[in-house]
Formats: sequence, structure tokens, C-alpha cells
Amino acid sequence: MIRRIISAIDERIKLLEIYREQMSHYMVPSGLNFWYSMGAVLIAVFCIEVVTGIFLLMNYVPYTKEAFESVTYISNTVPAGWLIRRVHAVGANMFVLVLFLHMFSVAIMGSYKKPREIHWFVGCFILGITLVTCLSGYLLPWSQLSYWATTVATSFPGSIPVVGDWLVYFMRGSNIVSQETMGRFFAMHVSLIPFTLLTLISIHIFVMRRTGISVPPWTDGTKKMPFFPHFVIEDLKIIYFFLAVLFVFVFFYPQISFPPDALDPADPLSTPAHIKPEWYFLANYQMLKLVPNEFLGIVLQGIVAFLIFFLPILDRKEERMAWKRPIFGTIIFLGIIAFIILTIWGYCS
Amino acid sequence: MTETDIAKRNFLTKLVGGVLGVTAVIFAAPFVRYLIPKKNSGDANILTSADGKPVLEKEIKENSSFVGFSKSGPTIIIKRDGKLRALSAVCTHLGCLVKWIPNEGVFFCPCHAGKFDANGVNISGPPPEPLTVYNVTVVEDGTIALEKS
Amino acid sequence: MNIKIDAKKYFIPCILFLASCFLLPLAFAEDSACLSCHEDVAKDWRESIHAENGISCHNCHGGNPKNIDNAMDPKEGFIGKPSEAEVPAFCGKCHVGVKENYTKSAHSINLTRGGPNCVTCHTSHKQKRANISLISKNLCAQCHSFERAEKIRNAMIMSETEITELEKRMEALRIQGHDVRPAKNALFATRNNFHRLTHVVNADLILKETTGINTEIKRLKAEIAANEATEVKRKIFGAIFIIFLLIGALIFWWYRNTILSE
Repeated sequence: MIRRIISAIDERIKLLEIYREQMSHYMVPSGLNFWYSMGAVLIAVFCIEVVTGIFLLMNYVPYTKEAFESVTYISNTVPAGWLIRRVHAVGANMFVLVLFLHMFSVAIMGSYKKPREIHWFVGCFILGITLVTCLSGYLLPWSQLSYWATTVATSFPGSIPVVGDWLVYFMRGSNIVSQETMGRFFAMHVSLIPFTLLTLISIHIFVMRRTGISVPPWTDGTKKMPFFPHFVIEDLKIIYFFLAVLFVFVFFYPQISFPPDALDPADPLSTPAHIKPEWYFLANYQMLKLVPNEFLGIVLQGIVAFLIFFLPILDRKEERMAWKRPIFGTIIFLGIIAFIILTIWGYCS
Repeated sequence: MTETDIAKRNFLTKLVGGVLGVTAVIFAAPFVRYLIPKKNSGDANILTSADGKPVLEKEIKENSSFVGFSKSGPTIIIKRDGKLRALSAVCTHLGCLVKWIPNEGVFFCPCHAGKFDANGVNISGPPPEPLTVYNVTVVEDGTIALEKS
Repeated sequence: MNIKIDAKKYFIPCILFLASCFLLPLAFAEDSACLSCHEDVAKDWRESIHAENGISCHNCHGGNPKNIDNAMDPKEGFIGKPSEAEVPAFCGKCHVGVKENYTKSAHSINLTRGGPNCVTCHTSHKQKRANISLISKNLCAQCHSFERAEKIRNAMIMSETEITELEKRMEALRIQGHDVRPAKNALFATRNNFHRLTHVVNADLILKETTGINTEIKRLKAEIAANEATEVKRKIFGAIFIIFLLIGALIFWWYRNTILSE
């Protein structure tokens, strides 16, 4: 029966041709390891975030006086609300983690090199937008943690000379984090950003398909396997593994996304002790604390971001094996060690 | 390929399909449950105003009416000779809310001029059935409890 | 907020400095002018539960905490240090229920003959959160044998333990995202009713009143237990689902390695 429907559609729009082209006869190098599945994990987690987000949207109220209550309502009264909320919060963390892993493997394997520079640029934009998503989403529950972490995060541009104050005012919609801030963060988080991310991810996958996936540096790329079902099932395997990790945290350790400050409604008149941003911002935060001049700190971070973004232009050698790229290897290694140390330091301080 | 190979292949393929199917069902379940809100059947059926606050008996003046909410929906309550009478405010014709006209002693529906008498019986116009009447009990704290009669 | 550029630069370090130096409530209970002279009292007060909740010198003693010149001016409401007999009324300004119970007690009747007032057991400035350890030999046996105090302590210890236990369980649930506010408030009220009761120092009366409190405790216990059972159920479902995902991954791996290998 299904076969008849499929062949009827195929007669009209040649569906099976697309299937063959893109799935069963599309060949990928056969040495792909699990690092190559990080992209698929990201797509899966992105879909989970969008769907859980839509459902949360049904009950969430983006008004400062009611936001926290609406989230409490979702977590306690709405059937399965607790699960959807936890998945959304923990899933966001997992998305950033896997994104870092994905960028790491692409950098190490030199997959950003010609002809795949565009993928890297688009990917960096995706990273930036993801961090903005996390920042804007963080404010929405309007807890003590939300309010004060956002206050700290949005006050950084203030140290930029001339435009700093105006930038902070622009980001917040007023002098302090308030309903205006919530309004714009909410609109951004639920509409602008999902559409932007969807577009960027589509472009990212499109150019990846056009150039073909990068050949693992330790093979010569002659042996191939069909994308569907061979590589798809590899992707699924890794996706299921990461979902298992996600749900371990969702069910057994949700506190990782909800420290005590996240359980109290925002009080603009009292800052809790030990307020600090989420783990992915800790390195930036700690670094800004160490550098004596805040503006200098921001400039330095800007330079690092610039260098990361333009990596494919700065590193144009063709060599892709990691151990044959000593300069690059050293820089990446030191950079990652610094990031980890700063993150741990930021966490402990 | 031998027979056992084919059988094994079929089995594994079905297994993979099964895993994907079960995952889809397990994923869908919480979302479906989320969409079906709990009925709070435990709460008493109290007449409330639009913002959810219970209406007190003393707030309803003699020979006047009040339209509020109860578990059964919009409810109109009138006070005549000191006694409270509560009926469903939803006109049985097409669902508009009725008004109480004290001078005429009727409930009047502004949409198609349907009329109900003080007991809710449809007396004129298109409404096909009478309004549902509720039994009123005034609770000690002054709130008004309703029960289908 | 008109903050100049200079102040903005130090905004973050300032916030951090404040946050790390001052505990939240101490930032609230601002340093009164009083503390500049009465440092010894200040030291005790800083450890107290009053300080933790932002209750400062002027809240009990009156006066102006902001200006050292008229800090002790009666026109600013300063009432100074209460005499021994005035202490119950002094503390009873806020702790009304406790004072009512105390006034009915043998302690109050004997106050002028050397009996205890509030600060005898709770100290004047170093009060900690009240718990059953206050009914102790070294406090109660100062004036009479510990026997009668022990009777009261035994009457109360079960309920006290239950309340403390419930508080811990509620906090564990709260951390997992449960909204325990109604239950927490009910427990807080119960605990206060209960502690207020001690002050009649009459074991039989206490036992009588305790039944009502115990009913409430039982109700709250049932509520907490229900929430905990839900958590356990969720975790079981979670564990099953996680194992299913891992088995799924294994099945995919098996499929890939056998059927799809070249």
C-alpha cells in the first residue's frame, strides 16, 4: 500500500531520484569515526530544543511578574512539564558541549582547510548565535540566577569607550535588566534565533554536501560507503549514546542546570553571593577578572575570536594530519588547556 | 547469501526499525500528555468573578444579577426576595451570555432576542431549551457554592 | 541611573567584591552607627539569626542607626537596655505568641524571684535558630533539677526530630525542582506553633497541644512522601529509558558491523 503511494508520488516528482542521489547512492569515505557524527548529534539536539521550546512556549508568560510562576507551573502542575523543562535546560548545555567537540575535531583534522573554509565561517556564526541563544534563554525563567547572570553578562560592553554605555542600554532596553530586557530577549530567543539558526545550519549542510564531507586525514579516501544506511546508522548510534548521557543528567542530576539561585524568583534589590555565568562563559568571565583593564580584556577576547574565525585564511597549508602541524598543534593545545584551566578556575572562585 | 543470513538480516532490520519506532513513541508520549491538562475535579464549584476571586453572597444586591464563572462555565446569579438563584448564563440557542432584566423578570439574550423566565424556562425567541439551574448553598465564609440540580 | 564611565569600569569588580565580602543579609543589615562604639555586642550580634535576617540594633532598641549624633536619642525612639523584668515585653514586641505563652508559665511568675527571662536561655545578642538542644542540663538545671525540663524535652523530641527531618526532605525535593513553598510555609508555621508552646514549661499542657501539631506533621509527611515517591517513579522510568537508548545504540552497532560491513 505504502509502495503504491510512494510510486505514485515518484511518478510525478521523481522522489526516488532524490533519495538515490542524496541517500543511498551518495558515497562518503569509509573511515569516518565518531567525531564525524557530532554534526548529527547537534541536529538531533537542536530539534529536541526546538520542540521542547515550542511546548514550553504554550505555558510560559514573558512578563517579569509572572515568568517565574509560569515556569513553576510548568515544572509542577502541567503533566510531563518537569521533563520537558529539564530536557530543554540540560539539552541546551549539551548542545554547547557537543558544539565545542565538533569544532575541536574539525580544527584538529584540518577540515576547515580548502575547499571547506565557508563551512568554518558559517559554523563560527552558528557558535556565536548559539551563545546568544543560551544567554537570552537564561533570562527567561526570571530567577535570581537569571537576573544577575544577565546583569553581569550585559554589563561587559560598558567598558568599551565612547559607545559602551549606549551598547549596554541598547542590549537591556533600559538601564537595568527589566521587562524591556525580557521582552527583547524573549522575542529573540523564540523567533529570530531559531529561524537564523535554521538558516545557518541549512547553509552549513548545503555547502558540506556540495564539497563532500572531508576525508579523514589518516585514510586516502578511496574506500567509500553509502551514506544511507551505513553512515546514517553510525550517526544514529552516536546520537543514541549522547541522548543516553543527556537523559542521565535530566533524570538523575538535573541540579547541574539548576543551582540553588535558579530556584528563587529574581530580586533586583539583592545580589546573591557567588553569582557566576554558565560553564561555557566561565573562561571568558575569569579571563576578564584577571586582566586589570576590562576594555583590554574585551579587546583580547575579540582578537582571539577574530583569529578563530579567520583560521582557514591564516592556516592555508594543505597538511591535515595533526602531528605534522606542530605550530598549529601547539597553539590549539595551549588554547584548549587555557580554556579548561580558566573554566575550572572560574568555577572554583 | 545463505538462508540463515537472510533471516538474520531481516531480523536485524526489523530490530533496528523497532528501536526507532519505540523511541518515537516514547518521545511522543510526554508531549501528548503535556497537551492534556489535568482536570481539577477536587475543587468545590464556587462562583468566582473574572479574575478568579470567589464572589461573596453579600456582594449581590437585591433584585440584581451577577455574571461570573463556575466549573460549569459562565453562570448568572440573581437575588430575589433575599434568595439566591443561579443558572447557566449560556443561552441554549447559540451560546451568547444572557442578561437579567429586573423590570420584566426575564433573562434576555441580546444576540437573537431569546427570553427565559425567572426559572430559566425558555419563553420566547429561538432558544430551544431552558437554562440549566443550579442549587445554591452559601458557605460559612460567604462564598457561593453551586451544584447541578 | 547616572553612573559615570569610571564607575562603570569598576562595576563588575565592585559587584564581585561586595558579593564575596558580604553575605547577602549583612549587606542588608547595614552597619549601624551603634557598632562603632558597641563592638563587643556587635561581635555577638553578627553570629545571630537576627543578623542573618536583617534585624539590626534599632529594630529592637530604637534610635537612629545612621547618625551617631542622635543614635541614642529618645526622640528617635531609643529605649535603651531593658531591665530584667522588662525583657519579655521587649522581645515580645515581635515574638508576640511566645510572650503570651511565657506569661502563662511558671518561669514568668517567678521572674522577680530570680526566674529566667528570654535572654537567660536565648542570650541577648547571640541567638541562634531555636532547637531542642536549648532544653539542656546546663541551662535548665541552673535553678532546679533537670528532671522536669527533661520531661518536657522528651515530650517534644519526637515531634522536633520529625520537623527537622521534614525540613531536610523538603529541601532535597526543592533542589530537584519541586515547588515546596506551600508545604514549607505550613511546616514553618507548625514549627513556630510548636516552639512557641515550649514557653509554658508545662509538660502536660505541651503534650496536649502536641496532638494537633502531630496531625499537621503527619499530613505534611504524607505530602512530602508522595512527592518523593513521584521522584523515585520518574527516576525508574528514566533509568529504563536510558538503558533502552544504550541497547538501541548497541543494536545499531551490531547491525552496522554485521549486515552493513563491506
